[in-house]
This record gives sequence, C-alpha cells and structure tokens, in this order.
Amino acid sequence: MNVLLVGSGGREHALAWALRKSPRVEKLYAAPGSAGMASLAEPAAIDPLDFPKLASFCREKSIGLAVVGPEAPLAAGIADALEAAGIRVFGPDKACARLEASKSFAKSFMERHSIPTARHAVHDDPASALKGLEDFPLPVVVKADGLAAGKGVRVCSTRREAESAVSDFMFLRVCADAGRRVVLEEFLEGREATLMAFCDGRTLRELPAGQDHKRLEDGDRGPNTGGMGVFAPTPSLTPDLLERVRREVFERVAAGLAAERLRYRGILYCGLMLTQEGPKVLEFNARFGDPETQAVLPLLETDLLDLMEACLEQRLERVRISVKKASCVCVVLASEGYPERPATGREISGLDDFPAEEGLFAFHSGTRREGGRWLTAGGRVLSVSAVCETLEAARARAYAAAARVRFEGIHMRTDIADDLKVRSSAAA
Amino acid sequence: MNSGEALLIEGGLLIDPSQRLESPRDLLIQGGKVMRISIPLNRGKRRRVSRDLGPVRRVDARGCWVVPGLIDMHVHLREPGREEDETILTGTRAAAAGGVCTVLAMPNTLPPTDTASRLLAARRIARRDAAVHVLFAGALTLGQRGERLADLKALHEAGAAAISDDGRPVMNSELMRRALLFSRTSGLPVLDHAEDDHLAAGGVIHQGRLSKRLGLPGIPSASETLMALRDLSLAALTGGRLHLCHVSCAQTVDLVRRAKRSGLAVTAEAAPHHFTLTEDDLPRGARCADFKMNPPLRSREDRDALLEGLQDGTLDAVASDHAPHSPEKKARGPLKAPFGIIGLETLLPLSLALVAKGVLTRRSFVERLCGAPARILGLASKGHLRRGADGDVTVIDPLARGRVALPFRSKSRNTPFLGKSLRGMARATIVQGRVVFLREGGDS
Repeated sequence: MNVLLVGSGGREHALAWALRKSPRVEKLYAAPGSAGMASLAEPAAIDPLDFPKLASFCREKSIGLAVVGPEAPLAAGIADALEAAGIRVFGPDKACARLEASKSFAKSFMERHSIPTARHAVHDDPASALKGLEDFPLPVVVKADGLAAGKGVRVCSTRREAESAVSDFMFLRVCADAGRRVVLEEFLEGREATLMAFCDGRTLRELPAGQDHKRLEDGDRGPNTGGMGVFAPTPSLTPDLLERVRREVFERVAAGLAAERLRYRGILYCGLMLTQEGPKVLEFNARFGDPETQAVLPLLETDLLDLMEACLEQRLERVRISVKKASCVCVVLASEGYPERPATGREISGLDDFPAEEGLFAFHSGTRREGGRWLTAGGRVLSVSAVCETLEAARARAYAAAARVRFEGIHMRTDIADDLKVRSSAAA
Repeated sequence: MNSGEALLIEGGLLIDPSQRLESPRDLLIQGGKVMRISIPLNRGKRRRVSRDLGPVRRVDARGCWVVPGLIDMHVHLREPGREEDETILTGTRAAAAGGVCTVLAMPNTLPPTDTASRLLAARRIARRDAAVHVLFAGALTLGQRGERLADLKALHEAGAAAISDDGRPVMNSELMRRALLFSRTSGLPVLDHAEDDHLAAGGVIHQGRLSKRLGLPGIPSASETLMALRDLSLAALTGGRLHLCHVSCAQTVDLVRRAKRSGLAVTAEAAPHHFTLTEDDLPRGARCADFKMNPPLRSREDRDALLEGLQDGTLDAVASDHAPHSPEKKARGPLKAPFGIIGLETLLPLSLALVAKGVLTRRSFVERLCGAPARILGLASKGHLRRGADGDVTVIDPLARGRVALPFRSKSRNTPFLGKSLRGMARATIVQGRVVFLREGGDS
C-alpha cells in the first residue's frame, strides 16, 4: 500500500527507514518531509496542519495509511480530520492526544485509573497557584499545562524559583497560552526511563526501553533540550520492573481508555521515574519520541507496517514484538546556540560519504539542501545511531561515525551511554 | 534599509489591548506601517510571504511579546547646551536599546525650548541624529523663569507636542491657568512638574523617617500634593488637559483618583524608580548621589500607593524621567549634585517586574507604556497595532537577563540600579518598520 508520513524531523526519518523495510509498502510520501529523507520518502509540500490539503493528497495518491509523527497536528485533530475523510491514521485522535496536550488531563486520567504518578495540583489562577506551592515540599515541579516544546517544566529547589516559575508561566506567559493553567507536582527521585508502546485501545505492547539525556551538556548540566541522545535498551528497566509497568501502567491505561471510550490507535510514549515505591509516570506523549525513535526503531525486527495495522484493527493482543538482541546508541548533533537561539545555515561536511553500513544511521533532524551542499536548518541537526551487540560497542561506533560529520559550532554530548551513565542506570 | 521594505515579526505573543488581542500572532509591517496580523503556522515551517512585497526581513520573536512601540513621554535629552550629559544621538540610542520607539523631550535645555525657532532647531537636530521618534515639549514660560508665558501658539505651530516647564515648577497660578486655557483650545497637554519651590527649598531627599535620622534637609510630600491640588482645581476651572508628571506620593495618587471619579479629565504618570525603590534603599556615601532625584524616593507606603494607582489606572502612564548628568556633576555628592537619574535603559525590565508580580496584567502593561502615552499626546497612529498603525514595535524577551553595567548607550551613568541584574529586555526595537535595535545572542 501507499503510506503517508506526516512530519519532517529525525523521528520521521527513522520511521521512513523502518517503513521502507516492509515489503508491503509501495510508495512512501512525507508531508512536508525533508531533503534528508527524500531518498526514502517523496516530499510533499503540505503543512502538517493543513488537514483539507492532506486529505485530498491522500485521496489523490491512494494512501492506505497516514502515520503522524509530531504532536502539534495530533493535538489539533489530524486523526479526526483524516479519518472523517476516509483515510486510516496511525496516531491518536484529538481526545486521546490530550494525554500529551494537557498535563492536567493526563494527571487526572492517571488519578482516575490508579496509575502511579507524582502527587499534583492544578491551578488556573496565579494567586491560588502561588498559595498552592505551600502544599508541596521542595524541590517542587512547576509545569505549564499545554504543549510548550520542552520549555514548560521547571524543577524548583527554592520557594523563590517556584514563585518565579508560576509568574513566568502565568503572568509573563513565556509559554504563551500553554501557561494559562499550571500543574504543581511533587518531585520524584530515582532513575528515568522512557518506554514507547503500541496501543490499540485494548492492549499495549512495548518497544525496548530507552534512557534519554535531556540536558544540553555532559554530566547532565545546562538547560533542558528536546533530547541530546538515547541508548536502548536501558539496564534500568529490569524484567521485574517491566512486569510492574505492564501491570500498573499499561493494563490500567488500557482499562482507562476503554472506560472513558477513548479510541487510542497509535504509539503511547511513557516517561517513567523508577522510584523506591516503584515505577511512576512522569508524563505521557501521544506519539513517537525524538530522539528515542532513532535509537529504538533500528532494534525492531517485526514489520512496522504490520504492527501499525494490528493497532488499527485492535489485534495487538495476538502480536509479539520481535527485537534484535543488541543495543543502540543515538547521539544528537546540535547547532551552536541550541536550545535558545540556534545558529543555522552552516555548511555540513561528511554527510555525502557517511558510511553506508548496516546498523549505522545519520538521521536528518534539521538540515536542508542548497546548491548541492547540506546546510544546518535547526537546533538539532542530525541523529547518529549505531547498533552493536553491546552498549559499549554501539557507543564507540556511534561516536566514531559522528566524528565524521562536521559543521561550524557543532555541539554534542560526549557522555551518552558512557560507563558512568550505564552503571548508574543499572544500579539497584 | 528603507522603511519601504517588508518586515515580518514571527512567533511572538502579540499583545494589543485596543484589539483585545493577547495571542500568538505573526506581524507584517510594510512601508513603515502595520500591514497584517496573522495566525502563526506550524512550528518549524517558515511562513511564505507574498512575492509582491519584495525582500522580507524576518525577526524571530519566539518566546517574546510583540507590543506596540513603547512611548516614553518624559525624557531629558540635554541637547542643546548640556551635551556633556547627553545628546539627541546618544539619548535616542539609549531609548532604542531600552525598547522605546518614541520619546517626548522636555524643554529644559540650554537655552530652553521656549520659542518657535528654538523648537524648530531642536527638531532639525532630531531629524539628523535621532535613532527613534523624538517629540518636543515647548516651555511654558520664557526661559522657564516662571515670569511670563511663552508664545504657546507659536510653539504649537512649530510642532510642539506638549507644553511643560518640567525641571521647574510654575509657581504663578495665573500663568498656569492661562497655559491650561491654551491647552483647552489647542488640545496640547500641559505636563505638570508639581512642586512648591518654597516648601521644597534646600531639600535633597524625602522628608520623612530617613531625612530625620541622617540629618539631611528633606522635600516634603506636601510640596507635590499642594501644587497638584492647585493644578487640579485650575484644570477643573479651565477645562484644560492637565497631566501630572512623576507622581511620587500616596496623597497625590488619592487626589488624582478622586478627581477622576468626579469626572475630571486629568492624566498622570509614575516613574519606575518611584515604584521600585524607597528612601530605605538610599546607600551611605558617594553613591547616594545616584539615588538623588526630584521628586525624591519616598516611603514604602508611597511606593505601595503608586503600585495601586498603576493597577487601578489612576496613574495612566509609566515614564522614565530620564535625566542624565555627567559623572563629574554627580561626583559633587548628595548635597551638591544635581537632581536626576537616567532611566531609558531600565524602564522596560522595571515595568515588566510589575507584571511578574501580578500588579499589572499584560494588557495593562501595554496600556501604561504604549496606549496611554499615545492617547495623552494625541498620537492616533501609535500605541496600538491595528492595520495602518505606525510600524513602531517593541519585541520583549521577558526572560532575558541583563546586567545594568557600563558601557551604557547613554552618555551618563547616574543610575541607582548599577550592578543589578534585571530581567525583561528588548529583543528588537522597530521604528517605522526599520530595526533600530537587535539584541544579539542570549543574555547580554
């Protein structure tokens, strides 16, 4: 069948690669796609938020399945719009996408269905939010309710910082409308893990768990970013813990979706904190993570198209996901100035002779082509992923490959999957 | 870059109370005017602008507020006559860096702007040197000596935007009455420096707890309130457009509130140093001269009253009273140094702090710094971003931190905030569709 991929980043590039492996995929298009993935998915110049144009494109090209990568179109109702036009969509509808688009909705969903998560309070009024801080010990987490591109979460270790966070979100509206409502949350300690699961509304089937690195600098220093690297599988999610997540999170999510008549057909990304009291959900995303996808899809052996269709047809229960017995490390190459004000338009060298080896990838996150050259076009430029038997080998392979790519002002973390991180991740 | 080029300000939070707008919007300016406001596209996708517009310059306003260009209606530019303190060139550069697109220059230059020819000469200098719009107030009395009325009609015809003797009070009530009468017929506002010379004489700081303790001569609040009361009565008598400058004490705020409630069309302003600092902030020693201004920093109760007045609209506008004095002059110490502090480069963060504290809403902030000054000065095409408005825009980064440190754009450095780290800076200042200031990189 013909498939349309909606999106343009590294995550979509990885999705395109994985979909292309399926013998059942005939033509693969991407809207808007990118020059970087053009050899895999033909770009179509359509804004992901232009639903009518997307629908007519799908009809024109006989698209059998639309796969949506980013959160904004999902939150805006792309699945509802395309399905209404008779097109099958892999991605949750607007009501389900609220699990990501509204942190307060996600938290109350978790409360209603006893899904373990941090204690929280929702505030629509700045004065009550400031007063509400008194109910939480420090450190306290202050979150803007809506989509804020990673800028809407502040971990505050002093009362002053917390008050400033409330003021920044609610008075100064630094996250625009996302800060109309604020969620105060208890700070959780432990090891983090991210788990993406296919969800067909009744069953959830997880992919290998990843360990991401949100901070810009080595040693987890510097500002928060969208993610500077991931390694998978992470030793922190032991079989016991995974079993607990299946029981206490996945089963309860499925029960909750059914109880609330939420028709979730897509990927559910769970950000988890493995605390002393067990695994707790930090956040849900209603789509594949970036760059988690670039580290996890290379390990997937099962046909991705088959998996997605199993979701749409509510057959996940009978599916077992097969993954490689290997590890994958993904390192993000970012621009100077990321995440505040990334410098763009810098020439990239080393891409055209990037080794074409099995298990080695340079996924394009933010690049463009001009006059035969590759130029940087975003904060995160490339995601270099490498698959090897061990985490150590995958890390070496990824960094060796990353070193072949150069552009002025290039920034990457050098400690993705290093000994310390892996050890502390596995520590009991 | 000529003002005919198109300018697209993308990704910001557009705040314009006149359109009841406070939402993410892209703003297109062309030919020096506001052309169009549009809903922003998906993040990561560049907005395609019509080819007919020619080359388009883009300003990235992500994470920022986009507001009508700030108007500072109380500024001392010192040129002609006191170029060692400031010039129109340096003062307007300071304005641009501070996010201010229009300034009202007070007439207490040397010689003062008290005749049509002097006003025209000042305007010529501004046309040549100014980085932002400069409006000029004409002096109320000749030489600002308070003895004879200036030729207000001629000053009006020469382009004066207001009448004021600021720097000096108008002690003669009959002169003030006649100025207010002229104000009624001409529509020009009278910007009133309300002070009683005799009550204030010799004072250097607020007459209160601190002046008593330090044994320094004080300026009583009554000096301001008494004159304000007189001038409110004269405004009621004549129907003139009275505007009270740099209101500094609770009693004056009360007077203005009552006058407004009774239907009087009076307006008033407050300066950031008055609503931020108090007499308790005065340091010992030489630095005290940088905290010396007229009217002085008063008590905490006065400051709180100013905040209340700004919140409920009793005080319509915020204006800096930017009063540069060279380091040599301020080095004369707290007793001998001239009154005044600079303020163009700190106006924005200090005012934004009121929003962060919940004193002002975002829309009120825009009212106080843009809408109200525009209305008071009769600038119909400024203070808002409706289609056809002047292409004056301030892009504000509420999170950007800046240290108040040398070098300033202003020639002078007399600020009590020296060394302080303030939050909320101009990311870009656009005057008539041209970018006159752009903050580079992250924090400055």
